[in-house]
Amino acid sequence: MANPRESAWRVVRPSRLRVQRFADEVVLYDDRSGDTHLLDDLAGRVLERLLGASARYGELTDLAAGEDSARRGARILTVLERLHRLGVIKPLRK
Amino acid sequence: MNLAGLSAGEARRRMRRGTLALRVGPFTARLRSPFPEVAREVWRLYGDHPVADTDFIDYHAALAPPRGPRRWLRPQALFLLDGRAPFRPLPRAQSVPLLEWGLNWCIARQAHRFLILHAAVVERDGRAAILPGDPGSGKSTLCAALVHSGWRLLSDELALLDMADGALHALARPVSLKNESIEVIHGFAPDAVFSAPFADTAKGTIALVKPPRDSVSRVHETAEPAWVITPEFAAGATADLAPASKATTFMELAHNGFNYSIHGAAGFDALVRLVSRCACHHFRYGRLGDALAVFDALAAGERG
Repeated sequence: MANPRESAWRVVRPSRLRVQRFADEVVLYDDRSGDTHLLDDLAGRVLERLLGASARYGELTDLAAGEDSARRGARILTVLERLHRLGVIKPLRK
Repeated sequence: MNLAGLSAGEARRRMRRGTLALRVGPFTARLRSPFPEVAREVWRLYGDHPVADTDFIDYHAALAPPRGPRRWLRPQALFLLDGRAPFRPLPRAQSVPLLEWGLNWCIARQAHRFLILHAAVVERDGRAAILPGDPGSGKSTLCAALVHSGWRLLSDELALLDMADGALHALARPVSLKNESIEVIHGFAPDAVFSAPFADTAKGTIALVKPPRDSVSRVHETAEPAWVITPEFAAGATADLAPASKATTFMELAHNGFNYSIHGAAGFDALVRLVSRCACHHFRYGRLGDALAVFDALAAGERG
């Protein structure tokens, strides 16, 4: 995977996804894999942001504003890696 | 005419010939078996179900001895759907539970106009509580107690969620109890009609409880989903109804969906609508009396 801090990220074929927020959790259905996932609040917010438009890592860290400032970056990276592993997002080619 | 309108002997003859068809909620099942003990239990447990007079049969189900010499040495029963055996045979002494499991399998495998969830469903005043639960959670025990305490039985095992309008459909089939819960419900509802106990099944000893007559006669009434309540039996525990996360409840229902993956995005959307409209709870209980009081308070609107 390209350096996630330098990449811009986008959702892979958003039309194949169903996303539903329930309070501070999100459920996600991927029509390609048939899998359903439970996302925590932060992962849900990252996904919702990327469904609106592609974004760079640095543009996403504000979503972790409730976290300890020293951990925000790491939390966003963890979320990006997880969503990427699920095949939901991918880095944009430069 | 209901099955009880036939004599036990006539029911046995029709089952032997394969001419006995029963209406079971939205489905019609034709049952065939040469085993008199199966006919006897079907006649007792399904006595209030209508005998169907139609050629439109959803499930042609049969219980028969497998071929070969083994049937003389150690009698077995094979479940057949449309003449094919989807499972391995079981000891003949387990024929009746096998028939119930087989009918569950038929519905779960074929009735895709519904989203089918592994859950009990009970109703009062038009509002339904869906009770998903793993084996040992106390789901069927609670369900049996509720339907003998003023709640209507929709199903003990299969929640049928209409994909078109989100209503819950009823089956009103026998409630399957296991092990200690058999005696518990015997004591709780002494007038309930039980099958014989079936020992040494994969789930332990099983007994089936005949559905209340009122539930069977109202089987065509749908119900609006109002609650998803995940029970957890803990011996001696005080009844505790706690709010549950809707997302976690969603995932649990999806996990318990027999045909959720078949429906794809439409199944996801149906489950979102269901969970959105329901109050979701986790319910820990240790005594049926306490549990019934909590459910009665829910029905009365005294709890969420």
